[in-house]
Amino acid sequence: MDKRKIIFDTDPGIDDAYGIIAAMKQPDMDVLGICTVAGNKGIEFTTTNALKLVHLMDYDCMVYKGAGESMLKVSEDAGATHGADGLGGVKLDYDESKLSDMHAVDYILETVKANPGEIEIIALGPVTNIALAIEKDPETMKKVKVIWTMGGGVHRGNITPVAEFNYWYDAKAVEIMFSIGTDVPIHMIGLDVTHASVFTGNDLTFMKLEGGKLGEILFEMVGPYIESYWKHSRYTGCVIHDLLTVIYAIDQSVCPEEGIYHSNLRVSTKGITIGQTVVDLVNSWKLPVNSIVPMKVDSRKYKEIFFEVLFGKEKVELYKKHVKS
Amino acid sequence: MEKRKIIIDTDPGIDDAFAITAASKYSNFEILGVTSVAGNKGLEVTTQNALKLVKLNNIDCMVYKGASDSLLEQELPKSDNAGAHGVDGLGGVQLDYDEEKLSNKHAVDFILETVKKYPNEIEIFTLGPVTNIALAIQKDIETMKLVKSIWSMGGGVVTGNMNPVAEFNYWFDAKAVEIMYSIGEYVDIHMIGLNVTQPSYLSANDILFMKLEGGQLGEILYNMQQSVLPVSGWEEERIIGNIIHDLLTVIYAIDSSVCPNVLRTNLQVSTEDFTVGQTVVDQIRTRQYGPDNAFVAMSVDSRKYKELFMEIVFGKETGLLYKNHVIS
Repeated sequence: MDKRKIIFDTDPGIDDAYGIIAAMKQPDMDVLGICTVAGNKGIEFTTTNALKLVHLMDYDCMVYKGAGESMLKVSEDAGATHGADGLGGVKLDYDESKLSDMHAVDYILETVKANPGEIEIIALGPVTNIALAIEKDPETMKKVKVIWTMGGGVHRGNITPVAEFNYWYDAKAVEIMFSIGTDVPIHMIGLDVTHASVFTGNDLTFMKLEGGKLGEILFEMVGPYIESYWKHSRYTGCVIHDLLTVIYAIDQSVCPEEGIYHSNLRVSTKGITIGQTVVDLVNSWKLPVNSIVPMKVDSRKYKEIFFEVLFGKEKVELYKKHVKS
Repeated sequence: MEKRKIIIDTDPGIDDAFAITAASKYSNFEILGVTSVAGNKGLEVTTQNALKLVKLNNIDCMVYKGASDSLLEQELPKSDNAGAHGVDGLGGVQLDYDEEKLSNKHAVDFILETVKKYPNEIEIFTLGPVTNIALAIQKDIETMKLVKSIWSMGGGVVTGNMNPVAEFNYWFDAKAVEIMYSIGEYVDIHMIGLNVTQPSYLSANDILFMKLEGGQLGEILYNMQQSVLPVSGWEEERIIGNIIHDLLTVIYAIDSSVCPNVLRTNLQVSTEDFTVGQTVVDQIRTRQYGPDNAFVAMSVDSRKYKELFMEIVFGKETGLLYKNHVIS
């Protein structure tokens, strides 16, 4: 069987790390390349972190450095949420030779040209690279098979009351991305579903206990995340936004079909609502459908799939049998 | 109002540490002394750990060294693995202590003198093997009948952890258990056994909460769990968390409504052969084996127990945060 051809566009980021690792472990996914973007941290950090993940997983793909700046010139990053280095302070090696000279935007365009209708882009950070690629060559970008994007939210925000960080950081790029949503299916995994799927202290402890060395690294990584989710959201645990995006791309049944909306989506690019996604769930605007937005999640199933993909069948049986989130 | 007068007889032990901490933070208790006994570890280690806990919690009392041997000369399980409490009995957490808080008086003499001084007022928490209690009874049974109540962690109703039918404390000195319950007609003896401690374990979520909101003390208690949870919680019990037996004993003594169903009945302990340490609780009250000599906790409201613990140890505000936001 042909594997699914995946390009990551990402700003690692603790939750990016979980998402990328899950995809690398998923047998029917072939991660062709990892494009980096500024977001959770500046571009140098996120690029180094992407290299670290490739090295950690000993994965055969290159890293392509992308946009260092938001189209709207937002300069604030996600602060201490991901720890000073963006990966929760976990020390990881990397191999500089895995960094390509090619720009992320060129890499995306060339790869799509070479595999029209086959490339799936998983966008875990601000979507600046995707917007730049669309601006450069919209016809090629219309041949992307599907985009899975973590960002936005219908009924809530995190960086402002109404905006999620990735989309807030480059709202202009979001607008450009969804402009091809009538040609390319774009699945938006927003805060409505990510916040409904918390990894609790029990889940994370299980991962540490049964996940071997990788489990221990992932446990250590979420240290600063746990502190910040307790302070801000009063969760005994944390939300791993980007991971849900990848698991949903692996198996869409984690978001039950009756909760999936095919709608028109617009993003605000100015004023106090900048970065807000307005999703016309009730089709009041009668505008073309340019987004697929899940609003419900089966969080137990999501975690079970994650543990199975990462640690195998036997471990997930233990989890199912003995661990209550 | 006068405070309740408490003696803690203990073999610390991580769960003892949680329990002693809770007792020390409860405003209505006056802890008169901590007596040590061999059990979770040998006597030297448990005595030193008792000193560490007295200092950690700033308890204004002395530590009295007690029995180093089981009356049955039961041997401690070989500690080539660190077991349920880590090599040092406190999960490897480094704590200081003051040697001068160790009294020259033997634990048994301290218990007897204190009971004589405050007849019908003293409550004893037994968190380890009950050897000291048995020796005190053997030495002066009439005085020991003047103990107000004994809250004893041990035994279990049709469950065990040392073997299929016996719990560790009672297994280690079953003879002493027999002697203790011989005064159960005169003194209220409450048994908090495995049948209630096992279902009320602290989950990883609960333990994480202590680290997040419990300040330095919370972090110490969290750290104590880290080396033992993988073994005694996960490997042995398949729970993501750990059972803190002794803590339930203290919280139950503070508010007995955490164990809604308590049976007043006869309790016997087996002292022989492969059932040694088994508590035989007359659940259907046949009265075949003798008069009522025990109060046996038969059920537990885990949520209420944990809420009380968090509130007592970390204060009202933190207790509320736990209540409102943490799912075990």
